[in-house]
Amino acid sequence: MNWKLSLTLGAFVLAAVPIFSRDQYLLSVLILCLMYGTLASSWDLLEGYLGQVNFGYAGFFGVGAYASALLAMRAGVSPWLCILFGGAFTALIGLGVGFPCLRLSAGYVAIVTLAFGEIARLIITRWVDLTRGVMALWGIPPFPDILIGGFRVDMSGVDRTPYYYVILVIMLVSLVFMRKLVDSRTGLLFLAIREDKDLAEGLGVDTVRHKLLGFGISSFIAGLVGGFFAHYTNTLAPELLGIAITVQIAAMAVVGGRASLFGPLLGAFLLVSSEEVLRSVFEYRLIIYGLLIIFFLTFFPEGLAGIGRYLRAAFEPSVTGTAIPPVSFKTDLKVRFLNESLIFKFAKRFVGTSHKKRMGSR
Amino acid sequence: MLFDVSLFLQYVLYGLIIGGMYGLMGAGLSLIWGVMDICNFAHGSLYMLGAYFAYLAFTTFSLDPILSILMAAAIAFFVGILIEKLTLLPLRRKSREWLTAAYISTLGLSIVFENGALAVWGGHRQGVDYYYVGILDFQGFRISYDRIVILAVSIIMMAAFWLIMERTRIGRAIRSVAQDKEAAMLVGVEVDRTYAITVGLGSALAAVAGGLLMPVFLAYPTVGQDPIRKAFAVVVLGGLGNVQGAFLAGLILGVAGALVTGYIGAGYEGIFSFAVLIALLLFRPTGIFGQAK
Repeated sequence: MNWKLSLTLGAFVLAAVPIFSRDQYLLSVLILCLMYGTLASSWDLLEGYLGQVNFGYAGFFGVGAYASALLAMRAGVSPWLCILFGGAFTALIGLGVGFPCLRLSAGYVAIVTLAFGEIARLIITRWVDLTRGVMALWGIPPFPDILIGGFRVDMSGVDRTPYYYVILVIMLVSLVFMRKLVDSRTGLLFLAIREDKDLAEGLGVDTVRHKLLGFGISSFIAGLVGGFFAHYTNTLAPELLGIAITVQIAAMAVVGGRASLFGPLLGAFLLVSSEEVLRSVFEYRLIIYGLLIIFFLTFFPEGLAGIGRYLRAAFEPSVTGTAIPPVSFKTDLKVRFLNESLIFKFAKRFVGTSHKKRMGSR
Repeated sequence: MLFDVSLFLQYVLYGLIIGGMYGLMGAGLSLIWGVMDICNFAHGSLYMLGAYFAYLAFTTFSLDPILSILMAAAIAFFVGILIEKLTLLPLRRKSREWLTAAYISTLGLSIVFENGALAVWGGHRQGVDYYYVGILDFQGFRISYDRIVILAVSIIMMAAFWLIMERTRIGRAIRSVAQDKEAAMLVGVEVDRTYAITVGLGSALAAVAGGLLMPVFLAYPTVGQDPIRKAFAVVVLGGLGNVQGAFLAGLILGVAGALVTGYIGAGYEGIFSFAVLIALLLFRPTGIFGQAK
């Protein structure tokens, strides 16, 4: 089953939910799932495909939320435009944060992003005149009603169904976009940078441009979702930018499976809904999130996305039967397979591209 | 306003005391990072555990302050070994790109420790006001005995740590692994054991810092968050893997931070240290004391 089919199926199922039940509680949980799923996927774009750990991700999310909310409140701009502005503003910030990370190794990148998240949280906490600090920013306008074919959709938030569809569209668009991106040549170059930055650079990959691209896209999505969140809940507090939210997002991505984009979405659905069902167990939710991260990284590094591959490998052994060995769960074989297919894809992609042009872009 | 020399000296002295703590934290972090390439995000939790252990040893067993700090360090040493054996070692064995995984794992670990402490000890601040009661008054220049002890112990600890690294067998093993893992393996150094002791030592240093500063910052679940952020700045300032550099950088950052707090205002000092960190990474990623490895 390829990703297009599964995504279409999933989209139809999700889109059909409000037809069967308009239970507001169910919808609010699903909205959270979709929000966290989008965030976890775009965190995964940066971490899984580009190898850049972003430990300040909640900061980006929060900056987008505050930017969108403040623009709507202070300038009276329509929230529909505001969330796009929130995304664009956060993308700019993301480029700014990505810039010092260009020359740095993964550990420093983790620290710089962590520092950014903290700085953003401190600034929002202290800039009371603008953000009301710890008193929380409230009274953020909801989305204005929209007219679809003469039918007025009530966006006041009394019924959450329209908001559910908005975040569903945001999720679908960003996921399809990211999927297309990682399947494109750019995505291969992302992987090449993750695998070996120096080698990729030696082959003529413009690492600066691609890293910044990754940071920009990932932060744009974070800001967009942040903007949605601001106009959905109508209240924002600085805790939103704290490390706890980042850890939750990272846990969803790890549980779902890194470098899979759809896995993190799955992870978000699983974790958010189990948090709702097992409220008493999740009293110590952050401990559970932390332990899940460690457990999955240690014993199940491919996450939920890996289960499918494992099952498939178990039921259809050796599909190709040719020179490329089947994906086995022995790590060494898997590594070889990945490397070979990567080099193979690389070679294929690079045939016919002008070397002069590639070198010139450096 | 006249420049008040005595006030300035107070700030500097306070900065040196806090800086000693930053130095200990940074040295531990830098050691682990230099040897294993891991940026240990759980380092702040070891500071927190050190503060709690020292507090519990000091109050429930009424041990001597210095003994309780040493006990906290000893426990933290074993906690560090457990961290390496239970979380880092399996990752290293299993995963192809284990470094990124290790960052995420240690971040998860720090969350587990913090919220574990919250569940076990509660969220309120615990601690004692003084280890040693009394204030030394030297011609209007007042300093409590505790502060003197803090500064003295952190310097002694650094010296002891330096001796371990330079003069003992295990110190040589650690340095050899840091230089070249494969070569060290070839001459018979047990790399996994060395890694475990490295994490243990680093954790012990963090716990000493936590225990020492318990009368100043007390013990509560998130007490380690500020020290670890400072430790990041210290590691970058001192140069990655440069333990002595880290200690010096800690003192510098401590004094600079105290002056910023004193003359500009509290609350800006956190932003200041992050600004220093990012500026350094932009312009001089190898730190101020020359080349990193």
